[in-house]
Amino acid sequence: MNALLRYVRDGLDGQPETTDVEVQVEELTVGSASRATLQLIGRDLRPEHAVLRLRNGRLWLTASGPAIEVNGSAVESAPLATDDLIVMGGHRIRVLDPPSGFDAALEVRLDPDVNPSDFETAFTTALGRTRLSKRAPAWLLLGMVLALGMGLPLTNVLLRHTGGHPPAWLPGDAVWSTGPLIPTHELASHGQCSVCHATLFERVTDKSCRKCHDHEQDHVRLDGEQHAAAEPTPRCAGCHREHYADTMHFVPRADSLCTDCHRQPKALTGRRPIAGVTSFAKDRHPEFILKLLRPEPGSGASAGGVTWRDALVPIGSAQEQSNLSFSHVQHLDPAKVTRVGGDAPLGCADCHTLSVDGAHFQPITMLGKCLSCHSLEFARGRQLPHGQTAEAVTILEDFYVRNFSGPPLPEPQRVRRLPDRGAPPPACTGKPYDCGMVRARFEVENQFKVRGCAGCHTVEDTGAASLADRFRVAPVRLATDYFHSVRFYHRDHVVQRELTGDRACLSCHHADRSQRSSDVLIPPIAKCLECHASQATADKVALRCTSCHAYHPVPAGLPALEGPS
Amino acid sequence: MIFTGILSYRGYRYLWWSLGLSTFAVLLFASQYASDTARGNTWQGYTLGSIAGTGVLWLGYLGVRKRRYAAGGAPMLGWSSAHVYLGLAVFLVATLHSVAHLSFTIHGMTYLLLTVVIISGIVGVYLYLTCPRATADNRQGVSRAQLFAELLDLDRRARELARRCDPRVAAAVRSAVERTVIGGGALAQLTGADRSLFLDPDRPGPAGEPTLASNAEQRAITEFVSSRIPRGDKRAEVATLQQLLPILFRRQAVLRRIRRDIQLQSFLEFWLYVHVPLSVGLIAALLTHVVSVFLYW
Repeated sequence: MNALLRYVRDGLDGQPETTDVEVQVEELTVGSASRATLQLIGRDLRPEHAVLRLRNGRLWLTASGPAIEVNGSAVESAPLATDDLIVMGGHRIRVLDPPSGFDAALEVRLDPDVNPSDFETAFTTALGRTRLSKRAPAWLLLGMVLALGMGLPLTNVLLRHTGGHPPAWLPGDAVWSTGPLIPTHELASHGQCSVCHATLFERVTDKSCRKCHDHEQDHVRLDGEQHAAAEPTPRCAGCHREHYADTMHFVPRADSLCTDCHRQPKALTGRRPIAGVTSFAKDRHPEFILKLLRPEPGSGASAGGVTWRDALVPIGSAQEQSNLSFSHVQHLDPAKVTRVGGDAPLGCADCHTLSVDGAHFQPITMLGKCLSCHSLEFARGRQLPHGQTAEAVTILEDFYVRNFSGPPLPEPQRVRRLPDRGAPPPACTGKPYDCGMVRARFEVENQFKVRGCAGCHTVEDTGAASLADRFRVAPVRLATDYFHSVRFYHRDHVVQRELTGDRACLSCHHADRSQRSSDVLIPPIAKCLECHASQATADKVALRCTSCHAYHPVPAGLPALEGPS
Repeated sequence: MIFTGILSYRGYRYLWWSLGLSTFAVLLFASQYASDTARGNTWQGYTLGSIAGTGVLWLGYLGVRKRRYAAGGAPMLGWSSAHVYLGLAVFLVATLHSVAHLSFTIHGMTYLLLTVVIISGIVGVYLYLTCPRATADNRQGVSRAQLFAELLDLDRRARELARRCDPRVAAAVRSAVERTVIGGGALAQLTGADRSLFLDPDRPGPAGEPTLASNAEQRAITEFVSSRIPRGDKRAEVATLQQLLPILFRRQAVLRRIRRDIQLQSFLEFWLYVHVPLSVGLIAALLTHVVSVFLYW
C-alpha cells in the first residue's frame, strides 16, 4: 500500500511543523526496531509493536503484543476510521483521510518526553530478558533432589517395611549409603539396607548382626565363666564400623580398644583376676600364662583311665606332665643320635613338621616319627605292637613257647643301638612249655621295666598275677596350644634377623638345654620383646593387642588358673 | 571503590573471621587422627558438619536479605563481604567434614553441589572485581543510554543521507541500519557475537536483486560505501557519500562499544544463573543428606 506518514511537531514559534514521508509497503509495521516502517522509541514499545494492513480497502490495526489504546480503549485488532487516535508509548497517531493516490495516511505526533536513549528497548540487552531463568532451574533442581534423594527412596522403604513390593523402577535407598560395605556384607545384604537397618531413625542393633553371626561370643561372658564387665559390652556396630570400604575399619585393631578397659584391671570385676596392660612392653604387659595339660584319674577305658584337664600356669613355674620320658639334649647330640642311614645329627624339623595353618605343628606320634629310629623288634622280623600292652604280652608268650617246643628261632637281631639288656635270661631244663613261659615272663619284665616301653613311658607295675594285666603304661598327651586364645604364627618366625633353620627355633625354644620332658620350652615375654614393641621402630616390629589376642573368646572358655596369679 | 569494598569491608573483618573459623576447623579435623580416622560421623565430623550446614543456610539467607530493602543491621556491602569470606570458610569446613569424598549418593552429590556453588561464587567475585573497570574503560565516561541515543541519531542521519544516494546505496545503507543486531540470546550476549546483516548489491541473486550478507562489525557496509566514492557519477553524490562514511564509521565504533558493554554486563549476571539455582538445589540436598543420615543412623 501507499501510505503517507505526516510527522507533526511544535516549532520554535509554537506553530506546528510537518514533515511528510511517503512509504510503499505490503504492510505498515510499527515498533522500536530499525526495520519498522514507523519507528517509535519508548520503554513500553516492543521492537515489533503493531501492524497496519489494508483489508478490503479499510485500514486494520493488529497488535503484535499487548493490546493497544485506540480512541481510549485497549484493542488487539480493530478496523480504523478517519480521525481515530492511536496512542503507543506516549506517541499519538491520528488516522487521516488519505489524499488522492494514497491508500492510507497517518499523522504522527512523537512524544517529546521520550528519550532517544530508550532506543535500547528495541534490543535484548540483558540476560534477564532472554530465555535464561534462575527460578525455573532452581525449582527443577529442588524437585529433583527432593524426589530422587528423599521422596522416592522413602516411598520404596516404607512400602517394604509394610510388606509391600515396590516396583523395580522405584529408586531404592542405595542413594543414602554413606560408603560401600565389605564384600561379604554386600553379598549377604543383596543391596537392601533394611537387612541391617531394621528400624528407621534407630542405629543398627546386635539383633541384626546375630541374624547371621549367632555363634559369635561376646568378649565378656556374663555367665560367670569370665570376668563380668562393669558396663554392658558395646553393640557390635560400635566397633565393627561399616560403610568404610575397607576391612581396616570393620575389624578395628587399635590398642586403645583393649587398653581403655584393661589398663584399669580393678574396674573389671569377676571371678578371675586380670592383670593390667597398657601396651606390649616391659612392665606394661603381664608375663605369659601357659595352658598346660594335666592328667587326672578318669573313667574312660580308651583313654587309659586318664582324663586330660587344661590348666593355666604362670610360665615361671610351669612344668609339663605328658607322661613321656624324653630328652631334647640327647636327641640333638650328634655323638648319641644321628639320622637313619648317615652320621648327620637330628634337626628340629626331623620330628616337628609345621601344619598348613602356619601356627601349629603336626602331632608327634610313635608310628609317625619315633618308629623310624626306635624299632619295637624283639626278634628277627618280630615286632611288638605299640600301645597294646596285653597284645604285646601274648606275642612274647607265643614266641618263646614255640621257641622251646620246636627248632630254635633266630635270636633277636640288633638293628639299632638298644638300651642295655640287663641280666641274661635264666637257663631252663624243664618242659618246653614251662621254659617258654618263664622266658616270656623274663622278656615281658625286661620290656616294661628295663628297656623297650620303659625307655620312653611311665610304666606302673600293678603286681597282678596275670602277666597281661600286670603292667600299665601311662597315656601320653602332648600339648598343641600353649596359650589360650592367642595366635602365634611359627611360619612368620622361621627366619629371625640373621637366624634361620634350627638356629631360629632354638633362639626361642631352648631344646638344646632341655634334659627332661617336663621342661617347658615356651619363651617368656622378654624373648618376644627382643624383636617386638607396641610401636614400630628401626629394629622392632610393631605388635598390636590384636596381633596375638582375639576380642571374641573361643567357645570353649578358659580353664582354671593354677599357682600364683 | 565499591567492588573491592566487598573484600576490604571494615578492615577485612570477615576475612579474619573466616580465617579463625578455618583454623578451628583444621585443628578439630586433625584431632580425629589421635584416636580414629577422619570421617563425617566422628564427634569432630558431626561438629564440622553442623558448622558447614548452618553456614550454608546462613549463606543462602543472603538471597532473602538482599530483597529486604527496609531491613536494618549491617549494610548489604557487609553482608556481601561476609558472604564471600564465610562462603570460602564453609567450603573448607564441609571439605573437612566429608574428607572430600565424592560418590553417587545424596552425600556425595551434596558436596559436589557445594563445590560447584562455591566455584561459581569465586568466579562471580572475580568478575565483580574485574568487569566494572573494563566496563568503565569501554564506556569512556558515556552511559549506555547515551550510546543508544547516539546510535539512534546516527541511524537517522545515515538513512537520511542514504536517501539522497544512488538507490542501490540507499537500499544497502537502509538494510545495514535495519538489520543491525545488538544483544539477543544469552549466548550472543556472552560471546559478543555480531550477526548483523545487510543487502549486499555486489552479490546479486538470480533476478539481479541484492542478497543478504554478513555485516559483522559493520565492516561490509563501510567497505561498500567507501568503494563507491571513487565511482560516484555525480559530484553531489560523492559529497553525500563522503558525509555518509564518517557516520557509518562512528556508528561502527558506537556499536562495538555497546556490544562490549552488553557482554561485560552479561558476565556480571551470568554466574548468578549457575550460583542461585544450584544454591537452592544445595539447600535441598543438604536437608536430604542430614535426614537420610539419621534415617539409617
